[in-house]
Amino acid sequence: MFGIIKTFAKELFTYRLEMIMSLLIMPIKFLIMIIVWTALYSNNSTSIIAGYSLENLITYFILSSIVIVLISDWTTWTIQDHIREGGFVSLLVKPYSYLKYLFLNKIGSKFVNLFVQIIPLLIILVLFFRKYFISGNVLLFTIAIIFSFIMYYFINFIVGLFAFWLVSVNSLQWITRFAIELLAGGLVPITLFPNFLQKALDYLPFKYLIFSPIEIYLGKYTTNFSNGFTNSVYFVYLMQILWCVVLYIIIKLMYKQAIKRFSGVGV
Amino acid sequence: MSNWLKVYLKSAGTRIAERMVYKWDYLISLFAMFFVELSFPIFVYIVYLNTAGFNGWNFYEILLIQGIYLIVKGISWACFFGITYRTIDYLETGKFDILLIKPRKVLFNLICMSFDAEDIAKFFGGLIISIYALVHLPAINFINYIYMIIIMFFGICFYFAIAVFFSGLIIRFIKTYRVYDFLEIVMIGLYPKTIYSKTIGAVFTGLIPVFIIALFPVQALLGKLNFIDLLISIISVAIILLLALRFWNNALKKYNSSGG
Repeated sequence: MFGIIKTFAKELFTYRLEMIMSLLIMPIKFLIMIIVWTALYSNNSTSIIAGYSLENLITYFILSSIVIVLISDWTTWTIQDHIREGGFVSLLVKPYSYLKYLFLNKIGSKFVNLFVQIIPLLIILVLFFRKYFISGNVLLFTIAIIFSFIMYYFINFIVGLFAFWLVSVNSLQWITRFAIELLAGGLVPITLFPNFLQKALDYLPFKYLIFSPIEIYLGKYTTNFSNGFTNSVYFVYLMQILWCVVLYIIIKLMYKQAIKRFSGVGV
Repeated sequence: MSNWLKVYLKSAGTRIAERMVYKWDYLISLFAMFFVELSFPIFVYIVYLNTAGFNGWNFYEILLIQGIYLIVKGISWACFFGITYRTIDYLETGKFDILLIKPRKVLFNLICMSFDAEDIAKFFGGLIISIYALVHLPAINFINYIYMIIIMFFGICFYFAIAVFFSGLIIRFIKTYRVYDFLEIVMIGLYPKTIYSKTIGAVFTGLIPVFIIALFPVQALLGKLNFIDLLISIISVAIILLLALRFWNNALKKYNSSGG
């Protein structure tokens, strides 16, 4: 038991720089956002902007930074590397699926992230930003984040599969990453977007990645049906599950075509 | 044309030619580079769509800050900022030793090898955003444009100092891309100085002069500049640049090859 703890501690020590960077940079990002939005609210005639009070909005930004760290991954680049460097061939003959293999990889790296980035971040949050942070329903939020985690992985896997057809998916990955973070509400809450965009986003998976889970935390979705089914947390979960299924089907179809196209040279 | 400049331009040409081998991939990369920098303009648009904005600044003035920031960043990142990741790459692969035996200064060799053909997109993106903002602003005196360009030069010097310092840091202590995270601090300079407290304003005017990258050039253009602030920032940039170069040279002296 002591051996396991020692090994794990050593592994965390390898990432000490990541931890130091998170401890230094994240508070600065939070601070900039707090200053900027405080200035904007003080220059505004109303204390509520698009349904958000200043405290709500700051909580939103802090949570969105945490959610992005929790759910994001480098699956696209991993797939590209496996195809370019030939590692994909050896993974093809393994007794588990490629999709499952990369997913377990993501869980592993996020476990390290949890200790290296998230926990230090939460400590900073408690120590310095508590007065800006609104408490909410952590359990319901965590459930939504689990679905977001899977959805984000599936989206990145789909983008990564394009590496079977393209020379490089680096640019595609950058564009997708930016678009997802913007359309998912990573930059600002979706309720601040123009109306036409808000309506369009109802038919896309992105808002269920970051925006909806944080709205659940902030209590904007009910746990009963008093405001109708679409305003309940169950609707968000249902949409997340539906999108997971749709994305999974797309992966299956694309992967089948990709394997047909793939030829391992010099195996 | 100076011999040094000829060598640099030749290297930059080679970098572009290398990327042009995969023409479409390069073009998509250029588009991606510009696209990912749009977060701030989009943020500003959304802010002004929902709020009264920043006191004393209209949408186009704030947008201009972003445009100028992208121009300065585009020039810096395309021309020399690549020395940070190039240092990591060369240290890992052992190529850094080759730079030591070339008949020019090591830092110059590194800069020549670091031209980034993709970051040109940031410059052109910034230019488009700036022109769009300027079209919507009242006519500006020609001399103000000259002031703005001169201050932008100091912004580029500041970026150069950061790049040299990061590169030295990588040689001396750490070999990680996470040094880039420190650049988040530059975001402070993209908002009007009036929103910050006096202490924060003073720190980022004199100690880490991030306002000189985009805010001061735009303030000079719009006739809103405080010349004392500018002077403090210019002195600060000069000191930081000297310290960064000294630090880099010290790091190089202490560099031990790992036999690559």
